[in-house]
Amino acid sequence: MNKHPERALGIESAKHSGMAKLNKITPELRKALDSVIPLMVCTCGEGDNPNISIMSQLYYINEQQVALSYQFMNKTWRNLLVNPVFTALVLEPEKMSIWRLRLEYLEEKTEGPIFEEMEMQILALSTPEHISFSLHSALICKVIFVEEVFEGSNL
Amino acid sequence: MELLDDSLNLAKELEQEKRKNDIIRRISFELGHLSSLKEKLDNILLMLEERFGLKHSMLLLPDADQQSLKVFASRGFEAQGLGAEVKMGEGVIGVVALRKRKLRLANISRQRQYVQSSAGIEAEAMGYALPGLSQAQSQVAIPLLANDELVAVLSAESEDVNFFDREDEEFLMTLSQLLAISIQNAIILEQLEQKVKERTAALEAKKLELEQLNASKDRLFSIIGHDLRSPAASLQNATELILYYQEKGDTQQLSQLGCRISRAAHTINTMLDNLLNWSITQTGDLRLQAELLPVATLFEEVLDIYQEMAVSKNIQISSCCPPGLYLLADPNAALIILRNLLSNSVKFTPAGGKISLKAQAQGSQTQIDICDNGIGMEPEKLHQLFQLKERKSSRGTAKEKGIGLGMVLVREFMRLSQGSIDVKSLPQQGTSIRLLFPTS
Repeated sequence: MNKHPERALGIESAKHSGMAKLNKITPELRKALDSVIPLMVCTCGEGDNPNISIMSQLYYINEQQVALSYQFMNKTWRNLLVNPVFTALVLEPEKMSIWRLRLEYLEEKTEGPIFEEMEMQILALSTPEHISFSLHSALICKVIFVEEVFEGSNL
Repeated sequence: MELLDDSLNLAKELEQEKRKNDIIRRISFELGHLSSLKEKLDNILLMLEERFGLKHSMLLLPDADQQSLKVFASRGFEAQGLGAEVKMGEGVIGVVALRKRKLRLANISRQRQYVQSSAGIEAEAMGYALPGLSQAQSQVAIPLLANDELVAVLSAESEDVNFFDREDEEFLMTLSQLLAISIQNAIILEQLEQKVKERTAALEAKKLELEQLNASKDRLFSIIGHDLRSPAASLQNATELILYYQEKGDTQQLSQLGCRISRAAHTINTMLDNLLNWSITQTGDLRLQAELLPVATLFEEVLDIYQEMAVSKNIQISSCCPPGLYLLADPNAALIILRNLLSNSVKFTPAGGKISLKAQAQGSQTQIDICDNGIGMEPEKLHQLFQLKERKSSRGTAKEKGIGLGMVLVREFMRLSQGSIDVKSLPQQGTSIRLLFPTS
């Protein structure tokens, strides 16, 4: 089983680039999460086949937890059930810095404040366009580590 | 070193808290003022800009049926957009109103692009006309709740991608209840003022009605005190004269007195009749029993009463009624109406005049025309014919007296009989009255 799905994204590990791994979400990353669209998620299930998919939201719960929006998952969901550890790549739009998050899927939520707020975000953007998007569930994930893989710059 | 950092951070946080407290204190003070809803809303947006840096903001209030929200105040947009509507559950504000939960969006244009492209639709102009920044990148919308009831939605926008942070959002939430209660108070105040206006108007109307009733009552007293006195005095005078002529043994004068007594008694009788009927209609105790009445019989009955008087005034009364013609009314009401109208015709037609009584079917109704070629009425007189007023009554052509109550009664009974009355009159030419009675 491939335990390092980020390799599939072709991004060098922080170990080599010399940037520090952190075990919690920093205020800078939190800002990036607020405005992230879209984010890339790489999972790996049985047979060592990685899957890269695009998701709409990674919702900040606290420094140790985030929630992933489950709208149209297919292979990603199958992979997560086999292997809950996965990688997300987040682009911060102001500086264009890139963050890598190693996450572990813990539980699925279809109600409660986290689910509701994520659902409201989706509805707020889709209803004026008369698109009927819905949120299937919120996937609560634990933050294993985060690292900034590209610093970005102030233009 | 770390200690220094910590204490610096602490000092910074303390400074921020102080600033927030200051804002809350100032806003609570300002919101304490009583003002109209519009003033209050504008004031809130002004304060949020001055104290909190919200440059582009608006307040929307839900409709009574909670189906949509309307912009009641806005600040810092190109178009103020007052009155613009958004459906409950639509867009950022609609969703916030429906869920009664705050929402903060950053990087809106890219998020919208993403939603559009993932749904496979072309980007187009927004489907609703709320005021807004054309290049809005961040938006925060806060439901203002009082007792879990949605009072308003506060929305603020910015062209910066990530203008509002969680702290701003939290602080606005802290303010939200204060704002909600203040707005609710203004709404209640406005409703109260509206209620007071309505009640005042109702009281004014009631006062006018009472004044009219009071005038009617005064008129009644004056009728009893003055108008009824003269025929009664005339009767009393006649009885004295009876004694006088009896002593003198003048039988010719005695027999002439009989006519005078009869006239005075008749006048008193009619007046008392009308007074009684009118008071019954006014107290609401009147119970009319409508039935189909043969018009010919009604004509006979009233003619019987006035024939003698007409002859003595040398007035010719003709009547014409097709056989088998009926009208639907209470028998007493119908007689009161016809009696009063015929009495007026006799009263206001000079010697040698003519009165005609005509009945005919008119569709589903029965039409009765009472016409005379008497002295008629000036338009001014015609205008107040149905009003109960002091000194309205006119003397007849033979100085007959009245109390000005007859026509009031006629109209009241026509109304109660679901009929209508139309009066046409020209001075020195005569008066025509047309009655329409139902037949079923």
